[in-house]
Amino acid sequence: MPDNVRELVSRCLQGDGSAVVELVDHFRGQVFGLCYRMLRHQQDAEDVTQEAFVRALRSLGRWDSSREFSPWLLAIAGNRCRTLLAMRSRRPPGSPLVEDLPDRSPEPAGFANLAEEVELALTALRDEHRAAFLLFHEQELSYVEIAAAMNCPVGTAKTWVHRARRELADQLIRRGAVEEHAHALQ
Amino acid sequence: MRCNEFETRLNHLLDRRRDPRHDRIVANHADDCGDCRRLMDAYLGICEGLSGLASPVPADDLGERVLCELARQPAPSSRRWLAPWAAIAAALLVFVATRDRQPHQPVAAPAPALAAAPVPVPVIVAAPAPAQTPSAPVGVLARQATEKYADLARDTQSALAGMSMLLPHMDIDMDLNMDEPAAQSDPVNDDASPLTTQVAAGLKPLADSTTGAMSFLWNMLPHSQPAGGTLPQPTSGNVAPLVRTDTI
Repeated sequence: MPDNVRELVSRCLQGDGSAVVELVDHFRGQVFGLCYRMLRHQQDAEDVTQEAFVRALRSLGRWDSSREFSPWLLAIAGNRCRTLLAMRSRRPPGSPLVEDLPDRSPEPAGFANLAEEVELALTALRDEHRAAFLLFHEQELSYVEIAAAMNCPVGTAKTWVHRARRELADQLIRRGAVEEHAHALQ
Repeated sequence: MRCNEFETRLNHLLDRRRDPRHDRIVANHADDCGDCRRLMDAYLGICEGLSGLASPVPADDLGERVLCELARQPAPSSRRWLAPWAAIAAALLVFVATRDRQPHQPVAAPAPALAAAPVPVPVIVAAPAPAQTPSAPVGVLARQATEKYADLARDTQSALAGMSMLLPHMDIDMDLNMDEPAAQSDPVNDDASPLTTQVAAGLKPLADSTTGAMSFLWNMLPHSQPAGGTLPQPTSGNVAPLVRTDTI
């Protein structure tokens, strides 16, 4: 972890407002990226990102400085996202909560549209599978860090990522982003 | 390699962030099995597609908004849980301090109120002396006990103030199913930094709690009521309740 992060945290604990802004600017891309992928809604992602930073800064004294700051911060953001997703699931149906993604017909997509296909496939994953997958592949956390962030055993985190890969792969194959295959395990 | 082992090895390589095409065993099997080749291509396509995802960015003023939100929200209410413990700690200290004094001894005069500590000064009223006479005059004993009590009160208040300084950001929970924080009470001092205001606001409940604890203890002393007189009142203004019923 860069020494300037520790220095920033130290200055934040001393009440330096400019350090707070600097710390937020340093990590806002990571945090917002995770929130956006999980919530699939720009405004919700911004709100949760802000809330995650506020909560992290209010409990800054509890961060173990011998560990990386990013996983700790992403854990808070992930918790907030899951809380919001749970609230969403309790809302009555019909609420326009999720931004509509382009409705793509089941035609061979080709790798030119691979990013869109992956993004579409991500929406079909279970929340914890998607979160674990993104934390591993996008945020490049280790399984130990993911387990800490998601408050689950390391083996569970690994299982979630593996299942997410398999479901995404099946989706890509189904939609023709990769060649169709019919595979029977021997 | 069998097909059911292929995916396991594929995951193993991806977990270590290695390109499976560079693994000889995987590459050899993929050359021989079309289905496994397509599976590997799909896995690689996921990684490639992920890297090509558009990355939306948050608003530029996120840092300032976070700062404003920190200033807007009240100081962590979790420090209120210290209040009843402060009362208990103060009670224990006074009990220990006055445990060895002779009971039922008359007191010549109450000690003057101390300007440094906003706590009531007890007047110790004693019963007739026991068979064993004290080694010092009763008035001296009373004065010593009172001064000792006052010292303990000051020490307790200082210790509690120190504790609050050591715990500037007492937020309890990362399991964020908590209820929203309660509405703020004190107005924000626009001239003070937000975090300084929070620390200052956080100290006030502890000071009030200590005052309340001392008042409570004073009322609980068995001979605290002077003959024909009224109990001395705390010198400070607002006395916080000893037991907080609001949740953290």
